[in-house]
Amino acid sequence: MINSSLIRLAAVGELSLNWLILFNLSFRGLLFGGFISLAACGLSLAFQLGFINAAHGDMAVLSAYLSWVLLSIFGIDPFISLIIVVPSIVIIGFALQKFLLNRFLLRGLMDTVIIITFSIGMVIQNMLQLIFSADFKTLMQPYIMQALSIGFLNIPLTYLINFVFALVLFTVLHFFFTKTFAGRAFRAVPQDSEAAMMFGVKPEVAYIYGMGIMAMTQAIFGVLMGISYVFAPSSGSTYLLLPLGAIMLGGLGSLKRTFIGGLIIGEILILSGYFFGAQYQYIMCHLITLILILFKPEGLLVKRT
Amino acid sequence: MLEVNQLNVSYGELQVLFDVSLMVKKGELVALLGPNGAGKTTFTKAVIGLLKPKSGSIFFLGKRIENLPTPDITKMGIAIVPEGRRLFPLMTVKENLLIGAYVSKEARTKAKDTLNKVYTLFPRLKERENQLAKTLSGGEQQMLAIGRALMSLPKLLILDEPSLGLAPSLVLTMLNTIKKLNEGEKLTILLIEQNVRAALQIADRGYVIENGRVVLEGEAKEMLKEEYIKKAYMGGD
Repeated sequence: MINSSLIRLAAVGELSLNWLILFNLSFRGLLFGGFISLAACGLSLAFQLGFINAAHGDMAVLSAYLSWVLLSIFGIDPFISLIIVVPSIVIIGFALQKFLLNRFLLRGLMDTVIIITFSIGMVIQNMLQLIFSADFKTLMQPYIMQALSIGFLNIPLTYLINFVFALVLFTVLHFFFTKTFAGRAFRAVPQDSEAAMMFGVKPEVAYIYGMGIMAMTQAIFGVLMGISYVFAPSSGSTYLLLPLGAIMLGGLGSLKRTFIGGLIIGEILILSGYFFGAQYQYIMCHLITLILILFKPEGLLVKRT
Repeated sequence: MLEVNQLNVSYGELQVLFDVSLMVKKGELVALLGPNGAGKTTFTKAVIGLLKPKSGSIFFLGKRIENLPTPDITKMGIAIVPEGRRLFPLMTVKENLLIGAYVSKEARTKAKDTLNKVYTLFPRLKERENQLAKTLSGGEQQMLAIGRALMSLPKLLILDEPSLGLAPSLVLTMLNTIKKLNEGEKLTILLIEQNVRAALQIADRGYVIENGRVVLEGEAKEMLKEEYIKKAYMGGD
């Protein structure tokens, strides 16, 4: 965790060593937060479209397994596998929305959708377990398992890659949803779908493309998750709950807030892992999120009106 | 431009409109008048395809539209200022306006120019450009709803009770604006109103609808003199 340059710089005294460790960790927390934000991206969009996709985490795990198959059978590098995984998951997303979820969303049955997506998640999870067993798998590659040393900062390469992917994806999607005609149409549908129809928006089409965008973000996240960590069929729940925390913390209804919410969650996870030990990381993370949200129920980043 | 023939509309078993016929010619300002519950909003919903009629036909620019889905109808050039305004509360004033231009390619490419025109018509909207729609006052919301409809560069503008919930002084301003749009911008308008006297003062022609049936129609000036209108809607004379 502490590289030599850090120790050399800290040779002046114990106190400054602690500060350097803390600074290093905070920086890591920020980058790791990008990974959490990326995990929350699609879910935040689902919230904006007016429903909760409980199969959110499982879609990512499915993507990771798809990439694993491509790697172990055809030897395709996980990063290159994105070219195949992303379109495949997007097509699954389109189909799911068109033939299943739209029937409920267009009738305003948002609660039913939660239960249905939960079932879909269960199906994915159990199917993966039947095919691949409950063992852990990974997409880690030797060339990626490195750490970068910049001055006294010491950062795993995967942290940086995940953060950059998150930053780019969030920027592009934020631009799309706020600055383009199509993006604004997406946001109009859940606010008043009849009024949106009056201006030429077709809600059924908006939902299908919306799910396509969510599936895209989940496929990208899933593969990156597999590259950075190990995963099993049951990993989906982690990547549903942490993102929910990020979305709540930032405040519903905006990608920008979700991105920052993810950064905060990442920071809490890394720092509580350091101070309380890895076994308390998740408990502390959820507890701190809960306490923060108690003080600002609408989300930390929402301006009170 | 708009021709409605023998329209019958029901909600399930309950019939709301009976043989309603109405015509709006190019450049006209037509008022559809009637008390609460007469079927005015049902009529608008049928015209823009949110309700499918049981029988009868609706022609717009010579094409039958009564069985088309709403987005396809509005794409042809009908814009609506719906009852209750129906703005997008979590979007800014500017974003609400731009949604109006989503409807057609032409409206999108001209969105910038149209936006400036709308801001000239309602300078207040320019001031509140970046505010969320839900934070606007009633009058401002009505301006925004009209602005949003204008952004779609409509051939026919339907206003459903634009004076509802406005302060009396604002009602006059609103009606003057509507008149200005009709005369200055040569916009064809169907105005749906409870406020009979005010609406007839700016309209070319009018229809009165009661219990789902057209009970009176004619030139607005003539209708203002009509005994029936005076008695039923203006508290005698």
